[in-house]
Amino acid sequence: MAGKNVKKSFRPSKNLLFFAMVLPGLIWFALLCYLPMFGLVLAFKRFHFYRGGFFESLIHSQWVGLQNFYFLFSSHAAYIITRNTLLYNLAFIVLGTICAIAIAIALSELLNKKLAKVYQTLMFLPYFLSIIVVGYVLLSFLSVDKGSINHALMFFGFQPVNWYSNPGYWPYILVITNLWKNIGYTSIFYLAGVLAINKQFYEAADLDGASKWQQIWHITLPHLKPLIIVLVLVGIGQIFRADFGTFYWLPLNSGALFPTTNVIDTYVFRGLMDSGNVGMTAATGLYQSIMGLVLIVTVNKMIKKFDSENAMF
Amino acid sequence: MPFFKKRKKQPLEISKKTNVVLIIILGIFAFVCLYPIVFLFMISISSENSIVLHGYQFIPSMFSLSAYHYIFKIGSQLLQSYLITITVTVVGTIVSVFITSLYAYAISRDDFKYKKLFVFIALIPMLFNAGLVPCYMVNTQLLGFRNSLLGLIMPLALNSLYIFILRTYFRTTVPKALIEAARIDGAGEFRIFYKIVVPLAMPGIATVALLTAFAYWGDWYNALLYIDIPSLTPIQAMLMQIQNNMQFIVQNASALSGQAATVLKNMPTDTARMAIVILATVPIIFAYPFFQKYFVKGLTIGGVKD
Amino acid sequence: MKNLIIRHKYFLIIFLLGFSLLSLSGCNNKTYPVGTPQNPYKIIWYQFGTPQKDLPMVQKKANEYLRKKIGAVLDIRMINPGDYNKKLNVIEISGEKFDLCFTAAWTNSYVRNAQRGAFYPLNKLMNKYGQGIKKTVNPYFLNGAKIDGELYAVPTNKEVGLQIRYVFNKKMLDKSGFSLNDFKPLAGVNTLKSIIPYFAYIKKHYPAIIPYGIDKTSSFITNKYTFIMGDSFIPGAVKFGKENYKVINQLDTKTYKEYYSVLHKMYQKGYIQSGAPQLQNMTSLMMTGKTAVEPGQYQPCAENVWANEYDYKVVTLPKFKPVTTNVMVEGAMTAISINAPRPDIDMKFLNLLNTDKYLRNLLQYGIEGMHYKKIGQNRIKFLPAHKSYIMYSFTLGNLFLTYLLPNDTSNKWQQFEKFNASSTPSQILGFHFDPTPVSSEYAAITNVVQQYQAGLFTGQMNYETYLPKFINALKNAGLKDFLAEEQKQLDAWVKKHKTSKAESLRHASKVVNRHNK
Repeated sequence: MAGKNVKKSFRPSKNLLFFAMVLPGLIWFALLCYLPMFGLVLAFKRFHFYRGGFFESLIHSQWVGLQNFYFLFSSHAAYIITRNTLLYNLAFIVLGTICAIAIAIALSELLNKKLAKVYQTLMFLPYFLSIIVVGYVLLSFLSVDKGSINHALMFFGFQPVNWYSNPGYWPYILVITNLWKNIGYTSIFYLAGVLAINKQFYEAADLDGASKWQQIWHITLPHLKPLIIVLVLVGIGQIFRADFGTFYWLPLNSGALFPTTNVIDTYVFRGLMDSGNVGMTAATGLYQSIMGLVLIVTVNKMIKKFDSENAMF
Repeated sequence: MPFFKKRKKQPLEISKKTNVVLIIILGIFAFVCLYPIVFLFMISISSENSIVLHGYQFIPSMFSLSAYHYIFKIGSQLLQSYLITITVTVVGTIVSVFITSLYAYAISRDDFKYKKLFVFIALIPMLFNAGLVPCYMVNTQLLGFRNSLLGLIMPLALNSLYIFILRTYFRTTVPKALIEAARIDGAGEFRIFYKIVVPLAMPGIATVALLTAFAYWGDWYNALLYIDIPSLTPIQAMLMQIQNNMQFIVQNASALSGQAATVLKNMPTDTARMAIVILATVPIIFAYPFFQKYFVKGLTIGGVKD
Repeated sequence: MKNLIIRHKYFLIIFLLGFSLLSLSGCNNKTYPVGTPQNPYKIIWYQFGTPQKDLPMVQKKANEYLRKKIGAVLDIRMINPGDYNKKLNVIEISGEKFDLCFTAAWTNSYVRNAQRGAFYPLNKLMNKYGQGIKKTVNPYFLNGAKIDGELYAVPTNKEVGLQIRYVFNKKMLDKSGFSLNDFKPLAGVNTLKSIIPYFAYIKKHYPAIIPYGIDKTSSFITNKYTFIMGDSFIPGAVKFGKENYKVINQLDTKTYKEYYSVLHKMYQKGYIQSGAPQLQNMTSLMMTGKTAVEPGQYQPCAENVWANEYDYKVVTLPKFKPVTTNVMVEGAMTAISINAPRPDIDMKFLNLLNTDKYLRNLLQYGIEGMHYKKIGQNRIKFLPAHKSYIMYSFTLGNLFLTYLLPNDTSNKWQQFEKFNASSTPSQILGFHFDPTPVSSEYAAITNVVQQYQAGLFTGQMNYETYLPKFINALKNAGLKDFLAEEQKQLDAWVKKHKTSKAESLRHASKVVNRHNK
């Protein structure tokens, strides 16, 4: 048998190598995300069990078209829950981003680095607290007879407030609590972004006589722009989804507060909890996904017009 | 001769005055973050009786470790749960960082022909969720997640958000010129990734790694779905089970038909609930310093001139 | 041909060897069918409760017995109470194979799952293999739990009557100089009203004690109405009693308005804790001795049970005579999965469980001599190992078979039977409403109810201002269509069952009387 004398070096193409890099992720997506998506058809069916397993049941269940979606639009409450969901999420995105960036910059500028590390660690703690526990912590502040805030109010001669019966206060309470819980988490992204900015930019600006604020505005923020866009866009993609824990457990599931605390996810949970209608639950998820997709594509297109390099896709 | 050395103001630093202001503001916020945890800890070491008599007090009138005793007695396998959680967190974080950063890097390169396709592939799952049951079905009947460490590690191994964030980090911290230069020098793509990109983007990778570790640590949902046997139950799920059971026993005492008496009489319900929170939350804080040193690493390298 | 065989001789040898090995290994199972002692069928049973340490041991002992008796062995999987509902839901819908599961009106919803076909229909099976169940389980259970004439789970024989009683801390009562005779029993709202002087006394002399201990889950259960959805908060009820089949919104009736009014007055006077609408008391207030009176769901001899838990004696004042409703009948049941491979063997097992005293007590209390010891013919005492094996009694079927505990009265089960016999069945027992045609309205109505429920039923909200808002919100949520659908389904059911219903009730009371002799 004739042997090969010259061993040709195998140089895989660049794209093949890149493909090898995305391969593990691709397999993960395929198996854990895309494969189960056949189940989305549940949103259009009235699920009934048939002997043989999930597939059998799914195939034979009655097709009901868009019927499972009606309840999201038909009732009087539909407007309120949608409005609540959107407004809260908007507040979270805007305020959350601003505060997280502010904290990240502040932390990076602190002269005492050890103290900055301590602060950073502490700010993370709320993220780990179970939201149910936070609800009870809130109760210790807001309870009508035992809460510390009412005690303080009475001490100064004011009337105690029945916090859990008054929906008007809760947009503020919920936004502040949500910020408190999540800022530590979000600011980490921005902190890493700030730390990665090349010092030479600042040195040059300083030589030009720029003040600290000018440096932040002209150097730090523009460098953070791609990161901000990604995080904001992701938030927009989820804008029809409300964090269940925040809106269910923080108000302690108080009925009187529904006008300002009932959001799509809590409404669906309350309404479907007993009937266990899986079709309607699936329809809700699909509705939230589609709306998110529409929004994220639209906003991304708009960004592309102004700043095509930093658009997400 | 000066009593203390006056520290010369470095050119890029903020003034001492601003520093103090920042320390105070950030300090207040940090305090507000810390206070509830300390408060909860105080409750957890109060005696149950003092709670009954006086409600929650910051400084308890009577101390007692009975809540922790109870939990350690009931959760005799608490140690096993911690072991599971630590294993899952460490392995999971390593696997996740590996898969995520490779994927993110590939799609950060403009010269990847199929970049757009794979961006799309990562984007859709962020918006569309197949739903609990179809995922459960595939995961248990096809992938064997039931009662296996796979069920705890795999679901969190990839997160589209982190992929996009890492992609951004790669783009902003690694100059294209550097990569080009390396290519001309004959380095392969993996080598470029390993030797150049990773060190430069270390703060970003450390961030994602840290948050992934936190996600694994706090996960109880996957345990709820896939794990039935105590020896594979991670700590969050275990603690939640203890709490749920206490709650159920109390609320349905009569249904236990007389057996409840023995169980109920000595249950430190309120204090135990807080002890559970402390046990679930505090340990992971110690992971933080471990990652912090990677944040700084990128800084020094970033100063290298191209 | 010969060449072929020779050339491939090695292959053929391996093939023949393998084939014979295979057939040999299958030999054992081939001669014995599934369901025999040599080849027992494995029954997978999802049970409600915390996994117990000694379960494997007890299960092994039970399997020795079961293998001989019906050719089956158990594989009990316990799911924590907090997770049970969610987990079972996922397991069922995803089609995972199992045999038995615990189901009730309040978890793993019996009615919903039966209506959507998750459970195996049992009529035929029970006739063939479950005669023992038919004889021992109270017919109220067996008939009341039928959905469209078909039974979908085996009910646990226990108390079938619903009765609310006011539970008094006896020590406090005695010290105050009041006695039970000062109050009016069996008078619904008026019973509560009659206790008000006692509340006033407590409030005045013991300011740290809460006179009437209710929290946000407090509901108003009355025997004047029987509820279509089994939930006293969801609009849709008929007046309790013979031929009342007109569906009304009970939340807007005179009875309820009176109740709201009484509660509101009580709340204003401080007889109800002011944080009530937010609180879901994890620890029963009675247990910590913080309250004087609390409403409780009664079962015979409950005073003993409660006294044990609370460390002090209690006395009770009944609010109304016991009634039997759908919810009571579906209090605790065991269902067979629609995907069970051998439902016949499952039924044989359930039949045995509900009639065999040895098996029932083995699964309930554990192994004699290890977890408990006998101190009488029908009475046992727990040993220290007991804490490694604690099972909820209602998850295991026929309660009346279980041994008595040291504190139980000797005629405990007879008292149960008496209680059951004295309980009046609702005229719509066995009617199960299917909300699917009005799911939108149902979702909206549930949200409205949850919005106003805590405030009204803890007395915090003044019903005069809030009730109109509540009713208005219900109307906007589609109350009219919802009630109309309830009426429609009820009318159809009445038509179908009217004749056979009277018969089955007559038969039921005959059987019940037989039990009492």
